Formats: sequence, structure tokens, C-alpha cells
Amino acid sequence: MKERRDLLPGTLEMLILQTLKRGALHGYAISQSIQETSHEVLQVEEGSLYPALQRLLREGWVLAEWGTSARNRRVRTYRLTPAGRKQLEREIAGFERLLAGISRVIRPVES
Amino acid sequence: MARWLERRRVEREMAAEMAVHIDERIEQLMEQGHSAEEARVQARRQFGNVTLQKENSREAWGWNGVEQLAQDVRFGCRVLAKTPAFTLTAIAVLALGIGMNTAMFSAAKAVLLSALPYPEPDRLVEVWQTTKAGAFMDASGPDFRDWRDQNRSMRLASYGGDQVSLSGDFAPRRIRIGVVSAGFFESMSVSAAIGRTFSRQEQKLGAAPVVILGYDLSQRTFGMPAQSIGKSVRLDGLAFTVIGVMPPAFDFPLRAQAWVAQELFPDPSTRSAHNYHVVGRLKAGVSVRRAQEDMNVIAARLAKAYIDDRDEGIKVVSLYDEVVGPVRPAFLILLSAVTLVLLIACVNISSLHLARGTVRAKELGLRAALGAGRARLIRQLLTEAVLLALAGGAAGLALAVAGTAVLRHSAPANIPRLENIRVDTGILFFTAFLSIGAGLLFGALPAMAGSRADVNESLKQGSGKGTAGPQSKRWGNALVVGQIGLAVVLFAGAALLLKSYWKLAHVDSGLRSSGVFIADLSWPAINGMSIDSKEVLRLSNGLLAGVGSLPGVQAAALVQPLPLSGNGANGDFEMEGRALPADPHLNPNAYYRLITSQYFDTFGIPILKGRAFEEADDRSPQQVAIVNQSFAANFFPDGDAVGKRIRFFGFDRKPEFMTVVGIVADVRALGLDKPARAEVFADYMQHAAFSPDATLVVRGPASLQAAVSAIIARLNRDTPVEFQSMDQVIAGSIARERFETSLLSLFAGFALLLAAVGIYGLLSYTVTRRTSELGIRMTLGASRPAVLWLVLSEGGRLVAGGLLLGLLCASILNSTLASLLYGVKATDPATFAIVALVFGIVAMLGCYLPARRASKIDPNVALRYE
Repeated sequence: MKERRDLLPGTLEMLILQTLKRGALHGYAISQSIQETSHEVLQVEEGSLYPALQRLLREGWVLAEWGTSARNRRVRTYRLTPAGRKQLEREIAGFERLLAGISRVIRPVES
Repeated sequence: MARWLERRRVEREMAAEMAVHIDERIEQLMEQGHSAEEARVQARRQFGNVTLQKENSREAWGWNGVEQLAQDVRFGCRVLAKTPAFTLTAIAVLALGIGMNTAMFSAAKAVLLSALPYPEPDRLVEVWQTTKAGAFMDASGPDFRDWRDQNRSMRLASYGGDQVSLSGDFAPRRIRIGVVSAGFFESMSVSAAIGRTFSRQEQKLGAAPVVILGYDLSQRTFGMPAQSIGKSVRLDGLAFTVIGVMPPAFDFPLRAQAWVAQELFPDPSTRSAHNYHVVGRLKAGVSVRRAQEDMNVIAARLAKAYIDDRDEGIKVVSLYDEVVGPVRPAFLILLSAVTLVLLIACVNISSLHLARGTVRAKELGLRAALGAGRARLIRQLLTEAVLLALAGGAAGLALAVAGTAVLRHSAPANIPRLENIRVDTGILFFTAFLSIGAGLLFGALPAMAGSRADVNESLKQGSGKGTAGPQSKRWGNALVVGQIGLAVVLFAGAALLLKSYWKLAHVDSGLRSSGVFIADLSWPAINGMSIDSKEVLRLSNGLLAGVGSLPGVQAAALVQPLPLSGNGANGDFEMEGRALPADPHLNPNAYYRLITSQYFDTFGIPILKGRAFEEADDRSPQQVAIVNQSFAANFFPDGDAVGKRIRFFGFDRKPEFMTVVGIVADVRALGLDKPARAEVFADYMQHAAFSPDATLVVRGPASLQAAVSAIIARLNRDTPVEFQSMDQVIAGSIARERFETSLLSLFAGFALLLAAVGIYGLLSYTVTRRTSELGIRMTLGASRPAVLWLVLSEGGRLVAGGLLLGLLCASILNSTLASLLYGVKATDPATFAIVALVFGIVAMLGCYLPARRASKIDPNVALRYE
């Protein structure tokens, strides 16, 4: 069985927000986009996208409206709000700090 | 409602959204060349758990709490209903545990917690005179008056109690009266409900006698309390006019049913006659300690001024402590015991639950596999536990209502306020709180253990029974050991009390009490007033002659006071020819009792030397006395008491010397737990004027009581009679000990049962789980006794551990029992040995049943079972 990496808590929301930065998408497209852009490294359990989207809706970081998909299905598309954009910046900044910290621990500067 | 609609819409939309997602994935996969079937499976796998995601989304909106609780409750009910044996056992155990606690707490609330039923009860105190050794005494009249007039911290009143005959135009009856001084009702801050209390003019020697009735008494006597005002009643034959009726709950002091003014009676006016209780109301803002300091100054002043007050002190005690103090230690012990019982019950159910939790491992594993988080599983298991506890609590409440009724009716008279016990709202809250607490307590451990279920392990097909990890096994063992330990502590305590009670009940009182019945009499003449000694003599002689001539009566006598009735009188005396000590505190002192000639025959008390009183003594001017063995040994160690003359200072108006004519064996007259004291018997007929009260004692069949009543009614129609057997009187004197002992024994018996059930449950479960292992052992040649022994020894280790733990704790904790024990040490080794033995036997019985089942295993069946 292929090893599956769980995402760090909270990262899924960040990835969704980042994906939506490029334009409004529906759920299926969001998961496709995350998998493709990460070159299949990030295996998101597709279903977990929907609870995350509900959380984002509730915080007011995304808006949802019903539309039609490329395959002509009635789907809900999600769009980033200004508040969501700010949240994304905050999350990225925090995440980079975290990454920097981790990499300093993993590869200490040799003196 | 709007929220609910909103929620329905969101859920519908999300379901649609998810369905579209999966469809799109399927289409895409099919485009990539997968078959329709493959594509569907693959898409589902990639999407994950649909239900769980829906649930998580709901959580995102914060909708889960109520929904899950309702779900848990529904599911819990279903689970519990599916295992009725377990559920009913657990509910029964909890019902008993919670019921006992609720009943006991109701009793404690009535006795210990409720405030005294008077205004501002915190300000009420009782004031005592104390001896050099610190023993409490009643106050003398002159001392009381000095206290009242000199203190600056409280308002004092004195009181006493008595039993008198109430008569009038109704059937006469015996009632308890309070004899109270001026200022009594003011100190208590209670006024009459109807009519009024005493006026100044009525509180004087020689005033026209008036009486205040208790509410119940006035209602029973006159139908309507208001109608009793102005009516005339007779107390011990003397006419009193009713001037008031007190409010229903007021019965101070000593459950009084009527009150008369103390000032109507002459006061001996000596500082050595300690006759009065003293009650006081502290002035606003004054503490008991301040009042005590105030009284210390007065005590010092009096000690300097009067020789009778030398070395005597004054002690101020809050009235609450005075009322509740004597029973508090016993109640605290009973409360702790009953709490222990509930704890054992919880541990018991916990271990049952734990064992079942392991059986349920498969179900829990499945739920975990379907996406239930650990917190969710814990919540589910706790919900079940609390449900169980609430059901147990409800049943327990019903038990408690019945239990409090039993307690109310069996309340010994010397436990104050127990008759007020009832289950009220406070108690309801207590029970609810207790139930939920118990549920969380016994649910916690199994929930933690159960929720740790390993998905892979529990779902593997072969393991058949679902394995208990070594951890949950260890917990199970610890629970059983703890349960036994706690139960042993209780059991040891109960055994000590039982032994103590047995010793007390079988103490040789010196009286042959069986076959004797008694009746308290009060000839019509009130103490200290209008005594007609000729009339008392006529009535007494007539009574004894009449009773003596009844066929079947072996002996009959009058006595005052009756031994073991809780009353005793003592006084200082002098011996002819011996100088009195300079310090009156060192005067010889002895208990005294007035009797008629057949008293010793009636009670079978042996006469060791000399003779009993004879009828000739009654009319002789020569006063006679009989002393007991202790008296003779104490004051006449040379064995020459007979023929000597003694004189009590407090006897009659003009005390005379009495010649000792006999020595009798000792009787424990003051209490079964108290050794006999030096005692002098005087001839009732020679001192009839001294006491119009007496108790008739008759050795003869109880069927004669009606005939005795008829004789008394013929002699004086105002004299009420109530019979009791002497055995009842003696039983009454140890009623409180019996009450405490029976309650604690009940608790301990239940604890023992629980511990046995606990170990039985654990081992049964172990045997079931090890069926295949035992089967293999037997196939490999293990004999049946060997298997029996294997299981027994496992149980035996737990029992031994629990016993050791329990006995250790008991030897430490039981020292708190010391104050309740008579003739037994709190660390009595024999008792502990018996406890260990009984407990060992019962617990091993709990082990034996599952062990025998194990040894009956058929290896073929056991192995095929796999």
C-alpha cells in the first residue's frame, strides 16, 4: 500500500485559498489542481475538501455560487474574498516561518 | 426552526456537490481507460468516507453537539437494552448504592445540617457548670441567678424537664413538660401561636398555676388549639389554666408538650443543688468565645466567694453543638461508610463494564474503522455509563424514599431530629448529582480502555473473542483488588461494631429483666407542691396489695428511678461517727434509689448479706437503707456495712440517719456500658412524700396488664398507665448503638456481596476469554484439578492482595471508630482474623464458580471454537 502523507493541520485550507487565487473553481477542479500542481506529492483525500470548504465559507474567506462545470454539470464554484486573500497572506507568512525553522533544525548551519 | 431549515439546505447542497465530484472523477477515470466498475471503486476510494466528511462539515458549523448527544443516548439505550442481564445487574447495584447514599444523606441533612428551628439559631447557647475534672453539671439556682444578673454577653434562662400526668375531661395521659424560668421564651425568641406566654405575676411562688400547651397536644386534647385557651387541666392532679398554645414545631426542651413556670416551685437555694439547665441568647455580635471569657470572670468571682463553687467553672456551648454534638461522630462514620459503598459499587460496575468493553472491542473497532475518533468513542461509552447511572439513580431514589420511611420509624429517641427526615428538592439534586458523578466515575476507566481499541486487532477474524490488552487486564485486576480492599475496610468496621454491640447487649446488667413489665406512674401531686404523703402511701399500698393478689404475679414493687431508664440521682451523704472533710467537694457521694420491699425479688437481685425491706419497716420510725456491693466495698472495706448509719443531705425536708440492713449485688443501673456505682436503696414507703413519681415493676405474665390498669383506675382515675416490658426498656437504652450497628452492617454486607460479584465477574470473563488456551492445556495433558487450580490461584492472588490492602487500611482507619466501641479495641486481632476468614471464603466462592466452569471445558469444543 502506498504511503500516504497527511497534510499538516490547517494546510489544506491554505492550499485551497492559494488555488482559488487564480480564479473561481468548483470542488472537483480544486482537488485536481492541488494534485496536479504538487505533482501528485500531496495526496488529499478528496472528500476532506468539503468540510474544509465549509469552514472557509463560515469564516467568510470564500464565497460560493451555483454554476455549470466544464462537463455541463450543476456545480458550486468558490471564489476568494478580500478577507480570504488577507488570510492567505497571513497563512503563507506563518508557514514560511515554520518551514524556515524546521529547515534550520534539519540542516543546521555548520560552523 | 430557521436554523434547522438552513442546515437542511446546506446539507442537501453539500451532498449534491459531493455526488458531482465523484461522478466527475468516474468519468475522468473511464476516459483514462478504466472499466465502469473499476472507476467507481477507485473514485470512492480517492474520495474517502462520505459520511465522515459530512459529519466533519457539520462540525465546521458547530452543529454536532446536540445531534451527537441525542445519537449517543439513542444508541446507548439500544446497547443497554440488548444486554438486559448486565444492564439490570448494574442498575440494581447502582440503585442500592445511590439509594443508601440518598437515604443516609437525608438523615444527615435532618440531623446534622438543618438549622435549629428557632429564630437566629446561631445565637443560642447552652451554659453549664463544670467540675474540676471538666464534667458538665446543671447549675444551682443561686449560681444561675448570679450568672443571669452579672453577665454582659447574653440573656439567660433556666429550664428543666419532667414527665407528668395530664388529666381533665378526657382520658389521662403522660406528657413531657418543660419547667422554664422567666425570660425563657424571650431567649428562644419564640412567642405563643395562640394566647400568650407567662406574665410576671404568673412567675412567682404561690401564683395561680397556668400552663402553655404544645400545638399537637392542644389539638389532640381539645380538637381545636384555639379552644384550649382558658380551659382547666390537671397536671399530676393540680389544676392549671391554659393561657397559650405554642407554634407546631416548638418542642424545646426535650420534646416538651407543655410548659409551666419554674417560679411556681420552691428552689432549694443552695449552691450545691445542681438542678437547672441554662439556655441563653447571645447579644448581637457576641461570639461564643467572648461569652465564654465573660463567664470565666464570673466563675472566678463565684469560686472565691462561695465554698460550693470552689474549683467549679462555667462552660458556654452553642446549642447546635449541644443538640448535634453527641451524634455527629457516628453520623460522619456512617456517611463515610455509605460513600465507600457507592465507591465500591462504582468500581464494581466499572470492572463489569471493562470486561464487557473488551467483548465489545469488535464493535468499537468497527466504529473506529468507520471513522469515529477516540473522543467520540469515549463520549459514547460515557453516555452509556451516565444513562445507566441515571436509571440506577431513579430506582435508588425510590429505594431512598422507602429507606427514609424506615429510618423515621426506627429512629431511636436519643438521636435528635431524625424524625424530620424527608426526601426534598435538595435531596433530589443531590441524587441527580450523585448519579451523574457515579456514572462518570465508573464509566471513565472502561471508556479510556475501550476507546483505545486497536482497529486491526479487533477486526481480525481469528481472534474470536476480541482480546483484552494486557493493560485493560491490569486495570481489571486493580479494580477487583481495590474493590475487595474497600469492602474489607467496611466489613472490618462493621464487625468491630457488631462485636461491640453483642458484648453490650449481652453484658450482665445484674437484673433478671425477662418476665418483668413496668409502668411509669405519677400519683396526683406535683413535685414539690401540695404533697399529701398519706395519700401517696394509701395509693401505693393499695396498688401493691392489689397487684400482688393477682394470680400469676410473683413479685411487684415500686421503684424511683427505674434502673437503665436514663435517669439517675445521686447525692452527698455522711456516715455516723466519721468526720466530714473540710472541702464539701470531697464529701462521700452515692447514687440512691427508692424501692419497696419486693424490688430485689422482682428483678432477681441476690441479697448478699442482711435482709431486704419488710412491711414492718414501712411503718417504723427507724429509717432503713440497703447498699450495693460497690458501696460496701468503697465505704466499708472491712465488710461491716450492715448496722452502720448513713444520712443523705438532700433527702426529705429533714434528713435522718438510715440504718443499713442489707447488702445486695451490683446492678449496672446507669447504662449497660457503664460499670456499677456505689448505690443506696431507701424505703419508698418511708419517703413517700419525697417522690410522688414511681415506676411499678411486676414479675408476672404480660397478660395481667389489663387487670393492673383496672386496679390503678379504681385507685385514681387521673393516673394514666402505659406498659412496657423491662427488656424493651433495656433495648431502648442501647437503641442508638443498635441503630448505628445495623446500618453499618447493612452497608458492609452489601459491600461484601459486591466484592464477591466483582471477582466472580472478572474471573468468569477471564475464563471465557481463555477457553481455547485452557482447551489446549487440557489436550496437552493438564488435569481438570490443575485447570481448576490455575483459575483459583489467579483469583486467590487478587483476593489476597485485596484482603491485605483492606486490613492495612482498616487498621489505620478504624481508630475513628474507637469512640463508638464498647469492650473492643479498634484493632481487635480476633475480629480482623474473622473478617479475613469470612471475606476469604466468600471471595473464593466467587472464584470457585468460574474455576469449576473452566475445569469442565471440553477440549474438543474449546478448540473447535477457534
